[in-house]
Amino acid sequence: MRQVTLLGPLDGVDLAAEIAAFGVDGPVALVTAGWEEGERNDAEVDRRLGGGSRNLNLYGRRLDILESDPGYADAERLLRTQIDELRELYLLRLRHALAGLEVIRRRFAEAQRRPGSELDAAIDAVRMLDETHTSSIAAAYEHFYAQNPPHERPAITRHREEVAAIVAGCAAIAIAGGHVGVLNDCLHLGHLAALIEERPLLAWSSGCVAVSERIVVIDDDDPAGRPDEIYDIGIGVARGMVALPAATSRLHAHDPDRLAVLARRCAPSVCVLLDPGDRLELRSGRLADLTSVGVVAEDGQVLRGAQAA
Amino acid sequence: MSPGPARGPRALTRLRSEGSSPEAIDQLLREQRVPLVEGPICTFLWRGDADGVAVDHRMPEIPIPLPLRRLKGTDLWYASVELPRGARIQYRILVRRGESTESMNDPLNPRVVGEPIGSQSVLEADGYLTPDWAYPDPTVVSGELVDLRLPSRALRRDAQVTLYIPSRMRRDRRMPLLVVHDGGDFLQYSSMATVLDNLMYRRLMADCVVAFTHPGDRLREYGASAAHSRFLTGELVPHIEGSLRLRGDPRGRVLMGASFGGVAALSAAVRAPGFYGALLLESPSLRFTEATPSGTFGDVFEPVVRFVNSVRAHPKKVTDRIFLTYGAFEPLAVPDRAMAEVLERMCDELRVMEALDGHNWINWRDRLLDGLGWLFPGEARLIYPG
Repeated sequence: MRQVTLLGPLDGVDLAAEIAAFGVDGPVALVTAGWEEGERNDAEVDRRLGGGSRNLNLYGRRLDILESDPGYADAERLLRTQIDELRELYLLRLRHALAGLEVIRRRFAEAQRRPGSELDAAIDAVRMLDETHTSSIAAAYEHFYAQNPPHERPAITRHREEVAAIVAGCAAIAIAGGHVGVLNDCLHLGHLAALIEERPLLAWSSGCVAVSERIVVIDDDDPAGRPDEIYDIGIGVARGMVALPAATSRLHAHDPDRLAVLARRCAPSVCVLLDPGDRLELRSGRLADLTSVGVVAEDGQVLRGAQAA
Repeated sequence: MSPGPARGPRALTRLRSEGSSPEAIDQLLREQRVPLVEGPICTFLWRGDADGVAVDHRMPEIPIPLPLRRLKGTDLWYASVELPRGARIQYRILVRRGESTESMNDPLNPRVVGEPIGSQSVLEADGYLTPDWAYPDPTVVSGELVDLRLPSRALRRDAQVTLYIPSRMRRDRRMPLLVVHDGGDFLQYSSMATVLDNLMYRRLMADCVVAFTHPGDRLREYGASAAHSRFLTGELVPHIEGSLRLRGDPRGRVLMGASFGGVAALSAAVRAPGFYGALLLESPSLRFTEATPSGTFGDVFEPVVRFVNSVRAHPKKVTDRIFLTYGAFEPLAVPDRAMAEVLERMCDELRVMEALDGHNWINWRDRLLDGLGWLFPGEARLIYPG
């Protein structure tokens, strides 16, 4: 049974104790690809993990692949452009759909009536947009991998084999935070999902987001004013949940109406707030213990402790 | 916005109650920042002998110039206005002695800003803060500024361009291109290289290459000139896209300009519909006429007025997004406000920001995060701690 522990942004957490709690013995395979150019600046996190961790260097490997296989790099750039275009259209439609939903919600509030089927229909429209966008991204990836099978690219194969060999000698895997998009790209390219299969996983901050099925991004401080969005598809090791790290600093208003919409958009997955000090356990990829995190209920209330469970 | 209440604000009231002696005035000027900012009430002060003193400014609904009154029995002159929170005003003091009037920066106010047309004093109302991203940050690696000379058939001269190349290059992405009119002024008076360094470093905007163009005969080239549009669309953009690894598609091309530069940006987009993905227009000089006779705004504006009138008559979509900003305290606020509905029909998405500031380079600097952050969305929201 695979063990997964997810943490909020690190804040004095004893990482070595978390690894020890898995009950395994051996070095930890470390992923710090989300730190991008700072990937190898990992001495501090290695110390906190108890020392002897082995950095998989996924960011550096990705750069090497793009450098040594220009054909793949060009194809991937086209894929990125395609996904960026999909995302732009999705955000355009999403803004309008959410604005419409807000108007309906306000109208019910002004009339002091309980939201009815009109609101459900408006939320369904947003859910449909989310689903369509997710499917479009998945189709783009599928087409890309069909056209550019990674196992036929020597540079990718070599790096994947090296990564697999390192992980084979490790007892657990730890994934740090940073840039969730970069991290996600590196996890996919390194084919980490398959390697995580039989090993305990400790992830924190955006590491929790990238190992989920969907990467949902929220940020009230975004200068571009982008709404809560499905950004990408994660590696899907943690299922049935949407990880929202650093939620307290990213959600200023804690507006229950908005959180309710978010919860209903993500359902049946559970929106899990992972602030510093929060901790979530999964067994066989499913939520096992919700008592140490915040959970967004469908009425927009943030539940904690026994209520969350 | 309105002139302040007849009763003087607290500092002056106190001064009066203490007898308004020269020593008391000395002390007031030593201890207080001038103009006085007491909540929403801002009081201009000037000290000396004169036949009349006034403030030259562009605040709406306030007499221009705003006359100062002499505090009875003293050589201290004053006038109060009420300003909204966060407002910022540039002004000069006019001192009349006999037939002659001298325009000067406020000698009691050390806050002065440089402008191409000369320096001006600055009044920062309660709540105004210079954005932290406008200051140089020693921890940020600066982008590179490279001078480029491009022979232009369209302009019949060698065009000078300063290219900004961001410090962070990602091998898996091609960057967009931003073309900025009045590039030298934006670099000098709006600290735009510093702003770009900071916004890109903090990922509040996407990394992009920026072409700062330098005008020749500015009012002619920027006044909706077809030659200038041909230069941008047929020469400059293809040249830069051909020599750097840029996106090279409409969504990767943005034109930006302030004042007449805004007219140049809009007119280039109108002449090449679909070529540019977005426009950033800051206080664009979009003068138009409806009932007023031709020539109302002078010869320089004639081609602009013709262009804007034609756009207003038949607005068509020319680009995806337009960010329009202007100062509430500038004469162009009226036509720019009126143009919003026209611009809305010329793009898919329009964002308008009316700033509590005027027609100046600091206002245009202060709006850069809103404009660039919207047009080139950054990845800050994708980055989580540790």
